[in-house]
Amino acid sequence: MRICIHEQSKELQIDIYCKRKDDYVMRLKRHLELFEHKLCAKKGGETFYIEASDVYYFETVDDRTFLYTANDVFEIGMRLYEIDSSLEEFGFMRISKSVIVNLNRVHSLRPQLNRTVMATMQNGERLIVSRSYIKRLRNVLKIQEGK
Amino acid sequence: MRYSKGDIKLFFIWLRNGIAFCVTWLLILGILICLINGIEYVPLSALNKMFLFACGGVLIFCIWFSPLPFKKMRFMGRLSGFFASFALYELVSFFLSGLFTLSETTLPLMAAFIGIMLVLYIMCILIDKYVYAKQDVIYTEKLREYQRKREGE
Repeated sequence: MRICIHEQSKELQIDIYCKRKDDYVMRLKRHLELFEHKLCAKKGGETFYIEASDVYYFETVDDRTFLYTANDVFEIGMRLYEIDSSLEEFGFMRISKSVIVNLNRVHSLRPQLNRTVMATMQNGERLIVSRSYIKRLRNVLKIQEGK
Repeated sequence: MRYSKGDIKLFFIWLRNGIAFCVTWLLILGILICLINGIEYVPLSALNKMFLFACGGVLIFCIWFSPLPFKKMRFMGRLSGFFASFALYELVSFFLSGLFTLSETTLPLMAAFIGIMLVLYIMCILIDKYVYAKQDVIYTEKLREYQRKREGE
């Protein structure tokens, strides 16, 4: 991959020249879109650009990834591990094998008797932080062990 | 939140493992009881009853605790549902199998059974109310701190 910068245009413009529009190129495009904190998502055949801060959580169901906002669901062409690595710095955190949550949109957290944590979102939806991700949650929120 | 094929698969895995676990234990207990009472064989009808009893119990457990039907429900809600349905199921099964009757001799047995269920349930409620409610405050407070810090960045 060759990257050139030309100081010609008034606006910042990025063009991708490639042999074929394959998966690699599409991943690159998605990463560039994420730079502006916008995610390309689809719903009913239409494409929408959604601000990362408006996203409540991402969920993978049968190899398809869905993006949830306050009252809408979109499909997104990214894998959960790609989202995890690129959105971590914006307050997103993986809470189970199939869910990444926006911690800024969590209303409350409640540890449960079965050693999981229930996260209630600002829109009232409930998500489960599974046991394997609780240590990570504690680290992110700086909660001491034993509390 | 949607249900995936994985959730459905997990439900059946729990069901299979649960039945295997319960039937094995009930069989071991059955053999021990037979040995203690000097019975040389376990009747087939008793084995069938045992199997059906285990299947029903495990099914109730999977319905309330596997991620399939009540994915969003709080754990205490699930536990309450489980205790209520399982107690009812056991009472009906014990009556049908003749272990419980409406005679005075089985009344202490029934009282002991109901007592054990109630004590377990009350213990769970107390732990949830006093131990986890405290943690609830700590976790949410730390979350707010995190959100304030991020807003400031």
